[in-house]
Amino acid sequence: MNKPSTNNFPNLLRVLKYEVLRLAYNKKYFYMVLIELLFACYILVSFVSGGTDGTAPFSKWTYSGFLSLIGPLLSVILILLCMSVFSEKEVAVRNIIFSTPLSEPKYYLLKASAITAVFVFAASLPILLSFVYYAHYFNFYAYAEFTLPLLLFLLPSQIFVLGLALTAGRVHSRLLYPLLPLVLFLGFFNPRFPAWIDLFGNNFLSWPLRWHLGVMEGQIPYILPDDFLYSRLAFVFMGIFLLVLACRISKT
Amino acid sequence: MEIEIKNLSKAYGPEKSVLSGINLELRPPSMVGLIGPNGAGKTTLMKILVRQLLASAGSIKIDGMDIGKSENYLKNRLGYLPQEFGLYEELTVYQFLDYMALLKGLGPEKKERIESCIEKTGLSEKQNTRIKTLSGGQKQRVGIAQALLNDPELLIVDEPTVGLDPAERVRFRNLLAENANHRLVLLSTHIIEDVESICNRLIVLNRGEILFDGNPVELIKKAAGHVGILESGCEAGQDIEKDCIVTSRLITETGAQYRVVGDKLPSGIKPMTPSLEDAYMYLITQNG
Repeated sequence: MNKPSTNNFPNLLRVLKYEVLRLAYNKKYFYMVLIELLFACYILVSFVSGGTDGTAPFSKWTYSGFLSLIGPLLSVILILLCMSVFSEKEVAVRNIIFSTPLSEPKYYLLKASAITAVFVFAASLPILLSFVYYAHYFNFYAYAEFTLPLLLFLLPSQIFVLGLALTAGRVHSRLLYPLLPLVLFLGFFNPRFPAWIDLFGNNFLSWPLRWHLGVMEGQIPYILPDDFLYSRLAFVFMGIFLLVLACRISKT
Repeated sequence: MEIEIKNLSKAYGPEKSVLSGINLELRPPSMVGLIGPNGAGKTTLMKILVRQLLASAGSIKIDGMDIGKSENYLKNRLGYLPQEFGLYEELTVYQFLDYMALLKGLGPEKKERIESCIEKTGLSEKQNTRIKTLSGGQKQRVGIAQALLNDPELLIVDEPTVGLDPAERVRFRNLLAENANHRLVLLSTHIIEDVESICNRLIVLNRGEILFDGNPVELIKKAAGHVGILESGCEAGQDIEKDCIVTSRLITETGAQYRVVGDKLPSGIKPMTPSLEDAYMYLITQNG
């Protein structure tokens, strides 16, 4: 038999398909998504229907509030997905995987990509649910308006949590456990944290908006203070930095 | 693939030396048995060879190239079955091998190679079965199948038969022997039977040093005149163990029959032709 040609670059997309299959084919993941959906239903009915600070239920402010509330549970799903990369079973498989030409940075990049793909699916479900809710109850279909809230209130926090969880996992797998209560604490307690620690933006939104933004009359424009915007940028950059750190080579 | 190891050492901190001064030249085709007691440094040596550990000192050359600068060259030609390994149990046997074949960068011949490895390892009936439902022996066969996927020039197998029942052990040994053609196979074990029938070269490692490097017959010759059988009462065993190592103890109608290995055999012992296990025990005891 001819010698296999191993000069081809591994078809990482096909490997990614298997990684996604493995992550999604999991009871823990299924139940977490189910809990997330039930929680999203509760938020839509109890919080979104009333609107934020007198704004419409389909205003950007209300949607930002919705995202800041579902964010912590999504982060919990993200951390649980990251835990799979550092489980004892995965470490045992790594003994074989690292004998292939796949480098350590590519391995972690592959895992991070699979987690991202599965997470995006998990995050899209409550968002789709909210769209159905708006369409059904308010005949509202201008979903493009929610792009900015999604970019500011969901994306930075999740990029940061992904980077933090993967870096923590590489230091020691047990460091991932305290992250679970930490994100829940940051997401569900509003002691008016400053912007740089307000990961999900819930502390910012807990202020009366008119007073906080100095808009006493008319519609509240969707303008966020500079320190809040800079903090989102900082979370994104820190998340990417931590992700790069997590993908580093380590040899003993 | 030729491997040249010079003055290789590995230490964890200043006081814990795992390997010291290892010098070896390995050339195909060869089935090399790496034997030694637990903690001898076999797994460490193998992990260094597959670049999962870095050596503290010394050099390894693969086909004349420094291993550090030819990691991809090595891994493209390597099949490795570690002592402890896991499989993605939620995948089927075929899916897992497909996953590994993709990581190994197999091209258009991938499907053919997977099917060939499945057939060689006797997993044809289980190829669409999820790995979590397989027995220990079957999982071990999946392990060797993934190691053979890229038709490796260098096959490194670390303690492959630990935990297998005797029938599976024999089957696994035969599988290794059948697939050793034209390759350099490095088989680490502390079970002498595993290497006795299939290896043409033995390396005995103890406390991080090479005690013996040669063929099994040479090792057996070293123990000639140092193995014997003593038939005596059951209480004699304790006295014998002062000077010799008792390698087997068989209860007979008249008392007991002791097979002993030692530098100087006590009087009254009937000399015997050493087995490979006797020779190994003799070597280990001679070197403390």
